[in-house]
Amino acid sequence: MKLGNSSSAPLPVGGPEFYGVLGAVASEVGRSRFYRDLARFLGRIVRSDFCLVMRYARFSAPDFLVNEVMSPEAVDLYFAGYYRFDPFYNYWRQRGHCGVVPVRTILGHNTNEHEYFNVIYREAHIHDEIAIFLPAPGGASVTIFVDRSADNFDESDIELMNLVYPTIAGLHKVHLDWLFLNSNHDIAGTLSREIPRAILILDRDGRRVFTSREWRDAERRNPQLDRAIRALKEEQPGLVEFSDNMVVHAEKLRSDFPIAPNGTICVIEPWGDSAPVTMDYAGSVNRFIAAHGLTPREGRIVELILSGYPTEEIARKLRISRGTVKNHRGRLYYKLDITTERELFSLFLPHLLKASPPAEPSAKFA
Amino acid sequence: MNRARLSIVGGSDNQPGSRLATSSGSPVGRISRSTFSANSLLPSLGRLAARVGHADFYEVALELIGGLVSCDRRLVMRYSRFDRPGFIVNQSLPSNYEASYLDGLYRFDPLFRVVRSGEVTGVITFRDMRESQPVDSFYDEFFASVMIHDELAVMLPAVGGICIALCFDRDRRRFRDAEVFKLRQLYSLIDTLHRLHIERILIGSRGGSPFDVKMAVLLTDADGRPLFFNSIWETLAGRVDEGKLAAATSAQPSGEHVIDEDHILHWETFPQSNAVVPGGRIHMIERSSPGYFNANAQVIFGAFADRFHLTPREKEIVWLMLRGYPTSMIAKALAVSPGTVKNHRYRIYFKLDITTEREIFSLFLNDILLAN
Repeated sequence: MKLGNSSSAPLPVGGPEFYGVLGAVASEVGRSRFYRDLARFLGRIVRSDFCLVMRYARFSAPDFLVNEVMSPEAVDLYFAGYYRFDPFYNYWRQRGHCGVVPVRTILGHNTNEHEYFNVIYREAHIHDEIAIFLPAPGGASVTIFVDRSADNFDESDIELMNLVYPTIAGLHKVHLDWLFLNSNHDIAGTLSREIPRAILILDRDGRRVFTSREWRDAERRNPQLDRAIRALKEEQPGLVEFSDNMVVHAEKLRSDFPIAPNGTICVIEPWGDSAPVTMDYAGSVNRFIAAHGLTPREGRIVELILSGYPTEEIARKLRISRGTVKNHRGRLYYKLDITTERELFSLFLPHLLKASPPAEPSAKFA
Repeated sequence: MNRARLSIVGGSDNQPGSRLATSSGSPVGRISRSTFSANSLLPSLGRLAARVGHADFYEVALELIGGLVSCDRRLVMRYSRFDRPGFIVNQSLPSNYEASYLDGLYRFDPLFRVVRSGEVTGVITFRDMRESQPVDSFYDEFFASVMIHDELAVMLPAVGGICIALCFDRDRRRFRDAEVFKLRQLYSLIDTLHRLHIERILIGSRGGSPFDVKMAVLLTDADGRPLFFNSIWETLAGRVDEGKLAAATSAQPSGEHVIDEDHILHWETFPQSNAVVPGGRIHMIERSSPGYFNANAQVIFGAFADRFHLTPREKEIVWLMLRGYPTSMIAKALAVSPGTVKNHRYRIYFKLDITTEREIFSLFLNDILLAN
């Protein structure tokens, strides 16, 4: 699971190599390798075992921008619905502050809520994680994750991330400016994945300065979009649902945004199915157990497996031997007609999502 | 070149540089104390990265590096292939110094010499430059005497052969290797941020451009379509035959073309790896100015000494004075006592009809500029 030696060798902050490596990352601004190199750079600073880069949107499901570590199976599970239990996804949709966010600070008081996400952490061999949220246009965030597979990050690691944050946020801003400048001059062609796909950019006087191809397609398909945009001009930031499962939302752009300073960006996103799940989960486990006719002991084991506990943990918690747990598992898999733990997670997911209807989008958001 | 204009060199109480400054009290005060810890440097780097493409990019860069080396003055200069140098940021050089520099002293600037002799990058000091050309260091020493004692420059190449220099000047001590070494660690990062800044202002400039009103810039994409031109391009482009220009520039990836005796057009092609304009082209029209001063200093000085009827010993003393030697060092170099040197100096002042040392520099500067 480790990256190659040269890219994962420790890089002491302020050491003789440090600024040169940072310069090499800066030279990738505007190019496709930028986030990969930025993530590896951060990973070397805190001795991380691997890194991921994701894009969290306001309303739609997350995207992977760089994934050098998660197996296709883990990614499938994630997108099948487990992302809705992703604590960082929740964090971004509810508060959305940029900066350095260690996973332990957001799990905090209500660990239960995210218990099912342990499945993903275990699949991906993630033991501890720090997220670095960077702002992206349209209320999105490009988020870099540095991960450890066996031990925890300590306070000094978090301090180091905070120390480099302003510099990498600056580079990230220049990088995004580049993508927009390129799109404006039609040099590089289509926009990259860092940016939401269906976007409209208006200048401060409400004149159109940019539409992406996806936006123009949406406009052709939805005549009512035009009306939604006019409604949004009245009040910003704002949100309008213009067709089934689709919202358009508008947000102010920075005063130094390259092609439309103080302008507005409008983004079309699907919503609904992707809302983070915030409801009680115990019911869904019980329904799952009932639906498949499991014994109380099997039910308890399923519950622990679904919470991401490995066999040894389960044995200790239930004060039985590992062999007994394995026997229970065998019977359980036979009853459910499955052969792997991953299938168990997939089987359980619909129950979980049904028990947790998506929240209505609020009319406004901060 | 009249004498009144040149006499301002060293004529102010607020004078920088030169040994002359020591006679008018202590320097205005150290601008900066040096620190090089990641804890203070990284927040500054963050500020600089956030100012890429903004009007105050160079000020923020000066502040960042100024925090790492102690100095008496900070400047940002633009050196170009044909035009004389220009001041982009001048935080502390008195305006009379700026004027005499632009009037002609720039032609003795060691930095100007090395930029004109080829592309210069990295972190360099006057001392390095002197060592790189030990044959005739008179003008370097002369420039240090009248203008700047020692200078450390971070040379950042822009486009079209333009080089931006972040300059840190000292009135007394020379820059030490350890100080230069610190900045060399940072150089590639600063250079990259600066390239991003240049590319960023070439497209959708928001100010902060080192291409001021005297320099015409046209940027075209790989297919020759104009992406950006500044207002001076619109004014000057009329002097260029467009058909000829297109024929000339499309035939060669880079080149130059004399428009008239005052103006030169030159162009270069960006590599495909350029983030903003892959394969694009930058065209510039610059005013042509006199280059680095290259007349033989000994010959001019010989004529100068003859005109004032200096004795061989007086000649030796004035020659060392012009190279910035204080009395004690002149005495040591000539193996005489400081008192003897002082006596000689009084006679020299009498012969030259002057009362202060700085007037010698003005007199001699007149001679060398007229000689050219």
